[in-house]
Amino acid sequence: MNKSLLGSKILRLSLILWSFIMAVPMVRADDNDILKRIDRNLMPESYESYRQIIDVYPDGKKKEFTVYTVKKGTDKTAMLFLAPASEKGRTTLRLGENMWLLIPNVAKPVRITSLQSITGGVFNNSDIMQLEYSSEYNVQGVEKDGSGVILTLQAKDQTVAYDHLKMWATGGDIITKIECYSASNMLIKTLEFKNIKDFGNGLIRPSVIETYSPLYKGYKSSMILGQITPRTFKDDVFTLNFMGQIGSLRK
Amino acid sequence: MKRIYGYLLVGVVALAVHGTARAQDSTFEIPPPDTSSPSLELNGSVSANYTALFNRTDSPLYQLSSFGKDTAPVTATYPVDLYLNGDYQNPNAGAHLKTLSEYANDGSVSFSLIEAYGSFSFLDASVVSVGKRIYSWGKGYAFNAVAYVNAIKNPEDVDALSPGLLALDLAYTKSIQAGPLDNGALELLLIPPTLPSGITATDITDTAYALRLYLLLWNTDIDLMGYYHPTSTQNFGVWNGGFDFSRNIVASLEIHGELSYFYDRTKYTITGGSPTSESINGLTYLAGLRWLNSWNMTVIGEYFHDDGGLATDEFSSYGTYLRNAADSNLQSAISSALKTKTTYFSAPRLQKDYGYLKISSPEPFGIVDLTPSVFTIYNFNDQSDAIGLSLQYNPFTNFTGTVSSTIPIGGSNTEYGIRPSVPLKVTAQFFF
Repeated sequence: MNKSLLGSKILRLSLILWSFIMAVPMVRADDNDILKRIDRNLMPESYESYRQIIDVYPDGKKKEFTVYTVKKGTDKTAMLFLAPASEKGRTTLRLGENMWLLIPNVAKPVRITSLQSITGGVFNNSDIMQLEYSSEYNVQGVEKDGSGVILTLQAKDQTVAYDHLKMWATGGDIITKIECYSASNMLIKTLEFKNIKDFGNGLIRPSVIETYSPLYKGYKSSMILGQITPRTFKDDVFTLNFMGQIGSLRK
Repeated sequence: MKRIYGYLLVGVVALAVHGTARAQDSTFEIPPPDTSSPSLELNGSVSANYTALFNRTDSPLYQLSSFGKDTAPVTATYPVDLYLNGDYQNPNAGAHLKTLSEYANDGSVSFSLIEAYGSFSFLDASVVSVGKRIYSWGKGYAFNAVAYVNAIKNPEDVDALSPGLLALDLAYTKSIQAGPLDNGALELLLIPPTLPSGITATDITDTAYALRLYLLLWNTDIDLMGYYHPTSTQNFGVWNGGFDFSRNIVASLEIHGELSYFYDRTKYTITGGSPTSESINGLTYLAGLRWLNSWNMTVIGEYFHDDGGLATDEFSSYGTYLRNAADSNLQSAISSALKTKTTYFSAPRLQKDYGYLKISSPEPFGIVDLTPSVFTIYNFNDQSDAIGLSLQYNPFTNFTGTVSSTIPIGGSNTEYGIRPSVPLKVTAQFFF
């Protein structure tokens, strides 16, 4: 093949490739950095925490659960139910998109999905065993909202609970609200982050997350963060065989 | 009078439990750690049960079991069960106990040791445990093909608690980050034989062995298992090998499966009016899914096949054998048939192919705290089935009330058609 013909073909191919690249909406590295900063303001990379989950039913009745949670890195978390007595000893483990539930009398961890709810309230398993948002979602767009920002996030794959999110954050990168949407753009639920509190170790973040959903009219759930402390754990803590021993990590 | 005391105990526990369930709006009490120093923790539940059996007087199994007794169209039992669990744990060692005490209608009290084992962690990621412990191998919800060390699951009551297995267990677990592999574990069980009463020692060659390798590979749980039992049994062969898997496909759908090959397993059939045995080799397998749909309804579906199950004509011979014994009105024939049934045909499933479907939906029609569920087990071989209904009610913390029934449906010589009764069970369970 003659050299000028080859050169012209390469040039044409490069132009086509370039036009494709330009057609794809570009997300600046800064945008994903905003999400990572929001994550870091929400939780240390590795920590232990105590939370209370309260499910409020349409008739006003409440169900309360106290849980101990440990997390390591971007994709590992485990949780132990401390109260009530009927749930005590239940343990969950999440490794990325994989989730399991261990019920003491059943003796084996059972795989669960992110849209189920272990408490039966508006929070699903994905909300209760939340990993860092940047590990599950890509930033698709950033809008200014007064002094804060609104991020549009797209799930990285189909096993993530929500297809896309709209996330509000303050100028200081503290999350205030999330709307969760399905692939058909239906609003599944809203999470509101309230009551900023100083948890020590430089972590100042909302201590209460409330959620409600147009799909569960009259229901409301909230999650109260009582303590959150940076702490590192061995990787082996986040294995199926260790699920029955999560309680031994408590100090 | 003793029964009244039993129910009073249940009532007192209920009041105590209810009294402690209070709302806390913005702060909450963090329960103190259980294991900051070696400690003993006790928990459990009290369960008051009422079971009415609507007897099917035309069933050969009912006629055999009621021969020579006063019969009634409906019989009832009222046991009170106390589940008491104790755990003693320090960072490296622990002892665990699970017990069941049952107080029956006639005033008798029975005690079962469900679990009693000690465990010790060493070399960072290894645990050795010795004693009686519940195992739950396999991924199936209603059936299992690779449950070599489990009690055989009853698909009509999958949550039933069965006593554990006496074993020496060595487990090594490692979190691995190597490409698609995220986690691994290796478990070896040495299982001594169950000895007849009065015999306390046995030949070491009677020991059974089970081995399991677990991998979290490509976001899929995968177990590879093997099991050797020195003698052939009805449930498993001398040599068995298999695997299971489980994986989330999308955010609301999980799929699972199991496959096992058995070599030299004992199969019993009725030939010439008496039980005969043969050694067989074959496959057992299972495929299933769990799906949470947009109406908040959880659907569990499974298909199960067992090459070692009875073929339709073999089950028919067994049914005819029971019918002939019941019709004979001879004590010797009836006793023999009951013994044959108990010894060789007491498994919760006897044939080859089954389908299972369960649908549960919390809070239907806005009724908070109520979870109804319905399931069906379909026997593809003789087209009989069982339909189960359950209503679970949780009106306050640490209390669960359940009403359930399983209705067997089938012809006169079918697995579910010959069931002796239709049970209706009401349970009130209080946790502490």
